[in-house]
Amino acid sequence: MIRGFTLILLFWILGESLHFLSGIPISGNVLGMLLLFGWLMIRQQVSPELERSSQLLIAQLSLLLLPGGVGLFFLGDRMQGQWLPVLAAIVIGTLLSMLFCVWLMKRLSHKVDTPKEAG
Amino acid sequence: MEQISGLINHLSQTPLLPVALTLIAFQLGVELFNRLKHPAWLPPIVSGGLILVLMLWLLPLDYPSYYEGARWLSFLLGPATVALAIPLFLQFHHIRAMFKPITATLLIGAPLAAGLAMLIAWGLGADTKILISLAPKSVTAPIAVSLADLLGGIGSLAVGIVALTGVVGSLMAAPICRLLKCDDERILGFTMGLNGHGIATARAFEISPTTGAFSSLAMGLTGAYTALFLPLLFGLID
Repeated sequence: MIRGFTLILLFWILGESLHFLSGIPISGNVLGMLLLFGWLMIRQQVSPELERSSQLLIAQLSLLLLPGGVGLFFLGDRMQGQWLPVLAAIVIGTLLSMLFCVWLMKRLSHKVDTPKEAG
Repeated sequence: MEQISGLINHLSQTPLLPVALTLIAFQLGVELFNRLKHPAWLPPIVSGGLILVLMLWLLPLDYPSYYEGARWLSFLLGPATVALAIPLFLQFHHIRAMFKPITATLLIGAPLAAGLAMLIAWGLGADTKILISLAPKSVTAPIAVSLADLLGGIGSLAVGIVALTGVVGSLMAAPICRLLKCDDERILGFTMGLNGHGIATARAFEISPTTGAFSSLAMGLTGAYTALFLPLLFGLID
């Protein structure tokens, strides 16, 4: 557990350092994730330690997000007149992009499947 | 009354009270979620959040003081984000099952999800900070917060938007597949993960393991890809 967690922290430090030193406009934790993913792709395996630590962290994501998330209710006047556009964007935007995703994937996977069936 | 607010003040000097309140609210949210038999419209992050807000309103504890202590929990979002590399790696082989549909849908679908939301909100008069906070709406929340903070949006608003998008995506995915006469669980799963990140992925695993696996893959790919293209895109606009 501790070994897995330490490795994750080391990759975060690596990502944070890369962000700080190179000025790449991607936050350190996301860079850390990309670096760790690259490292796993090279090694082609995950140690059980690392897998357990990651499961533990990811399983608690909702809890970890609560302190920041509830800040939403304390934005006050900042959100005046902004709720309608936000809600419309979420509901209509998600509906349209999901329709597009299903349509495109279905279309492309048919194209791939058809010659196989014909052959 | 004065003594109570003095006590609350004392307990908030350290992370003790803020962390305890967060844990209690979250567990009540989980309990409610289980009692109601896992409703897609009320995941624990939403119910727990509402309970926590209620607690903060009732107690003489203002949000900045609460957050100062609860940061102790938020800090773990950093390693949790890095840890997302592991499920992405573990699900990555599914990409071979339908390489072309997956890459094409990811490359077009993820920017579309961001772009459509911003376009609609812009058309209805949302200001810039709100538009930036909407851009990562389909990205898993820890990455979305990083993106919103990095690009000049509002982190907490991004969390709320992401949670709501996850709920909406969970509810709409299956009806949309029926409407388009698509019975491929891999397509349903990938669409859920691309649009509704972790919340929809949790729902997808309840539908079937295949749906869950493709949703998880889509969530990881969309998070990583959006984290790359969004800052570059905003850099170009500036």
